Amino acid sequence: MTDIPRTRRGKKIEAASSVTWSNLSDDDDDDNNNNNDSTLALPQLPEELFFRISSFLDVISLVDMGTTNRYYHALCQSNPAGWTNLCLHLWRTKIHVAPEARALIQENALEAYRVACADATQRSYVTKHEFCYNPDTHQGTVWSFRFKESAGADWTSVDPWYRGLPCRQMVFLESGKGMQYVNDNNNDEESPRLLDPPVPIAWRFLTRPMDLPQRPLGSYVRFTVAGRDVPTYSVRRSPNGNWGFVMESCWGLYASYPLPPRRKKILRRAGEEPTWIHADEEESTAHSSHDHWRNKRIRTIGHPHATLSHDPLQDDSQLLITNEIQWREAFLYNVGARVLPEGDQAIDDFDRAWGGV
Amino acid sequence: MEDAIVKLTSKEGETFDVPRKVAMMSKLVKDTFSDDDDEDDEEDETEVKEVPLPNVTAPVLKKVIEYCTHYQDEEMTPIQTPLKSGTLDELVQAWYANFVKVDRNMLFDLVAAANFMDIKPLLDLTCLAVSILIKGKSAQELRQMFNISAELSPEEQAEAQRENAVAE
Repeated sequence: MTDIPRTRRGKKIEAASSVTWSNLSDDDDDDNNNNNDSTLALPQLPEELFFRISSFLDVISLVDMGTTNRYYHALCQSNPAGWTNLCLHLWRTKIHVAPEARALIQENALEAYRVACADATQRSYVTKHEFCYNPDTHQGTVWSFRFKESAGADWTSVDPWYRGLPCRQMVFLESGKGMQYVNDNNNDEESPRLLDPPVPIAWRFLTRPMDLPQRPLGSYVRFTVAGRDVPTYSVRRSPNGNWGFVMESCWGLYASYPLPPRRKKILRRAGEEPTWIHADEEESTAHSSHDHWRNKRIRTIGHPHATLSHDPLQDDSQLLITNEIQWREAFLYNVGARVLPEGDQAIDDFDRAWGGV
Repeated sequence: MEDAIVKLTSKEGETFDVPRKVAMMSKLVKDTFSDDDDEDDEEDETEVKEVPLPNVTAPVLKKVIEYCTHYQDEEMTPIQTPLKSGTLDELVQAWYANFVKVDRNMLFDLVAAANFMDIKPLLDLTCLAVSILIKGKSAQELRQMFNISAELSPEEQAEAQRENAVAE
């Protein structure tokens, strides 16, 4: 029985798994070492060479390689197999990586990768730490805000986003106060600045708004603007896959990262019927034949790595909280209520008060 | 000095005359020189050097020299992770992509030789080529391909499947 190949320095692998060196060297490689010719096949590669190879592998291939046998299972789970870089590369483009995952990367990068992905797909509430901004350290989340079309022209007409300008930005302090965030990029001491909004804004978390089901703390935010509760904001992960958070009410949208500019629609007059099309599609449609356009579409759809032609938050099509869903809160706000009820009894109270609408 | 020759001797004892500049791509060769430079001075600069490479067979050494010679005319694009593509031709120049289109044994021998002779770009290229062999293969295919035997225990297989699920 030949021993398992090791690095020249005999460095131990760092895999945090139940596979140990003692049980590795038992029943492994019975066939592999029969060919003791000059050829160095993969099973005889020293660890450090295997790591050079595996560092070029993507997640799927690395995991597949790890299912071949116990030796490679342990190797493929270890940090130097590539998990540290896979984590760092994945996280570089993500807005909110779970702090637990970041804390794990040194100890067990595979576990950190797993924890981070699980968090991003399963946790749809924010922690206070993720929600808030610290005015002393300037650390924390800057939220971008825009109205939704459903807020009506009174509101969208005063929203810079609808005029093609950057979104308004807000930060929320732990004290419960909301402030306007202004960053002139002047690199001077004054930037970024926090300003009091034109009317006072307060925030708090709640768990059971009137129109929506009970969810954990950090899933809903109640804003009180100029002393009046506005319809509840519901938190979830951004639909564009960047692990950011968005929160929306029937009328407004916040994102924990800079929102993309509005997707402009233009009226296309070519042909029999004028139709509304998206401006970013205009170039490919307006001046080309029908066939060309069709081919282009097919190519785009067929390409496995085709990215979205536009960000889902450039318009309201991917948003979930409509006037219909949040109708009780919207109704109460519109008739002038200062406080929006919450909790399991809220709907019954509402029905009683309004005669079982 | 440009025309100085280094003799590289393979495992079988076959000797290859290689321009010094080409041979110096190997850190092993380079270190052999600098070790000597410490001890002796100018006089052995003119002397023809011989470097024995007992781990490298002649056919493999020939390939290595081919690589180092071509590298003088066209430096290989450094390979950066994460890879931008899954095909060699899109990651390095055509000559290098073709260079590693060899049978598996030769490829592994080149990995080992590049490692032993410490030629980083060649090591990167050959390791990349092996990783591309691994990509997209099932565990069963990989076992056959690389002659890997032992199966996982049921618990380990279950764990590996959980990882798969996370990785989507």
